[in-house]
Amino acid sequence: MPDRGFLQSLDISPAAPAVFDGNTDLWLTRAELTRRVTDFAARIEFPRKALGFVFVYNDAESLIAYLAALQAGHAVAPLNPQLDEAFIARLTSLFQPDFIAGPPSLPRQPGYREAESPHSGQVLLRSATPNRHAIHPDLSLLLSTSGSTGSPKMVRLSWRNLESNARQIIQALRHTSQDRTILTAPIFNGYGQSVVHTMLLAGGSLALTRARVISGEFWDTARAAECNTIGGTPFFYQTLDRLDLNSLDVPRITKFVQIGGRMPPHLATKFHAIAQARGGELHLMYGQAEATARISGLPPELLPEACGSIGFVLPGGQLWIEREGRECADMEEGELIYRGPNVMMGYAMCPDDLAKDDEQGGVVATGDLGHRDGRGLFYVTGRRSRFVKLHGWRVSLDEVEQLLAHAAPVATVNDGERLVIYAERPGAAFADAVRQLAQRLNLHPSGFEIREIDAIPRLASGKVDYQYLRAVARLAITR
Amino acid sequence: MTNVQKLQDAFRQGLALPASFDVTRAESASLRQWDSVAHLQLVVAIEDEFRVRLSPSELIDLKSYPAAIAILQRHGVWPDA
Repeated sequence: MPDRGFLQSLDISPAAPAVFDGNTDLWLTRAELTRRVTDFAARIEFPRKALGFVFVYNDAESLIAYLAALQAGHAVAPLNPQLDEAFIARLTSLFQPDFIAGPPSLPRQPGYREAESPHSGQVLLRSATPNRHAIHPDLSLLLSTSGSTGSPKMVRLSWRNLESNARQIIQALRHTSQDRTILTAPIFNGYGQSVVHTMLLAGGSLALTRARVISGEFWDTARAAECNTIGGTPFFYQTLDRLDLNSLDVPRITKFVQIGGRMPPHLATKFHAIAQARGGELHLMYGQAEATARISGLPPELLPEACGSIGFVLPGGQLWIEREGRECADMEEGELIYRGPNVMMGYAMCPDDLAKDDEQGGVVATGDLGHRDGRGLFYVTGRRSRFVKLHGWRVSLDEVEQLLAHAAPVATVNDGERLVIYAERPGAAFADAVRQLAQRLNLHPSGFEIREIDAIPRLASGKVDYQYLRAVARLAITR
Repeated sequence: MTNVQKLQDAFRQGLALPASFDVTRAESASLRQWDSVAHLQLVVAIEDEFRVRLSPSELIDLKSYPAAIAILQRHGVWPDA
């Protein structure tokens, strides 16, 4: 088994700080983290490469379990411990993981026995009949395409994908062993993982807390850990704006990173100025799970002038614009296509897919529409594919349609920040169905807008006329 | 509409709670749906209902229904101003 793990590759002092757990106020040094990860990895040995579900909170125990599963060379799916029990049971019976690690509250599953736990904070369940499914030797991570639901559609990532993207990000953000961040997203989310991978590979350190960003505890943790770097989605920056960063008493934080959807220009400009006043910088980045996490970044020197741009492609990657199979000239609109070492192997919908080889050949059509300017800067202006980012979470429009089909005939379209649901003559209970759906997806219902319609427009083929609905959605907004 | 109704509406709307939920017992520590997104929605709903602007520290203090009342009292809009 090749060496896999973000703790193995660097000349970092064993005494260097690695992880601060704000839930316990304890630091782990690089040596302590490495030892605990290695201990855990030794408990999850199987005759063959295995599949593990790891349910992770933002705490040190969860991080150790996650890193151990990767280091042991298995394929790992990091998941939300707050998914509802029925969904966890369904996902477990579908993929039949060989082991499941998680917090003590983890629901026990039939066909699994509790193994001796490597440390007190975690439960480890082992399948009574392991290694039922063949797993491709390169497969390291399975990333749910819908971070909030843990949808059965997963992105397949190799160790090479994870490591190369972490190195690309380190280079773009100029991270060193001096960087120390606090996670503002869950470890089970692709963005959260990319921060963990990047920081540990750079030899830097990170703080973890289960507390929400809007809480005294979160900022106590950032202060106690002496963080100097922070990143988040546009929603995070909206929150930070309301919290007034300068009143939070975290003056050491000077490097800011944004990812996960387009940052409104007024916020980009404002946080660029705040970062500059602190002698630091704001990096705007762009990416998606199909490219592990990130694809491009805007150098801070180009702010505020280029705040509408997603920047240059990351080192080692190529980005271009394509329309009808040919490459577009500068300023011409088309779909963003990316090629790089961080492009996924493909998707997995069922356990048989885990044995599949690379299906992408290092290229992914992003589903985003945009153009390149004469300087080589890229701009995203719209979306072609059927998902939307709500509060930084990726939500599948088709999944929402399926989950609402019982309540009324529906068609969903993406309207930038919101998901518009066209419902054909919905009954009085429809709003309740949407609220329940939002809760199930761990999303706030304000991200969904319900519009009543007499009949969902269809093409001659019987398919929903989404182009018409998108146009109508836009009109309704600008009215 | 009374202040109590206004505040309860703001909690139901902001935190996406069903009509049957007793919002006077809503606490951020124990309510799963009270995440950062819901928190900001609650803040906006309270600000719209009572025509006030919460300070950054009040945003952080807003952890329960009684905490919301204490904040509104400080703004002089509770009980009826």
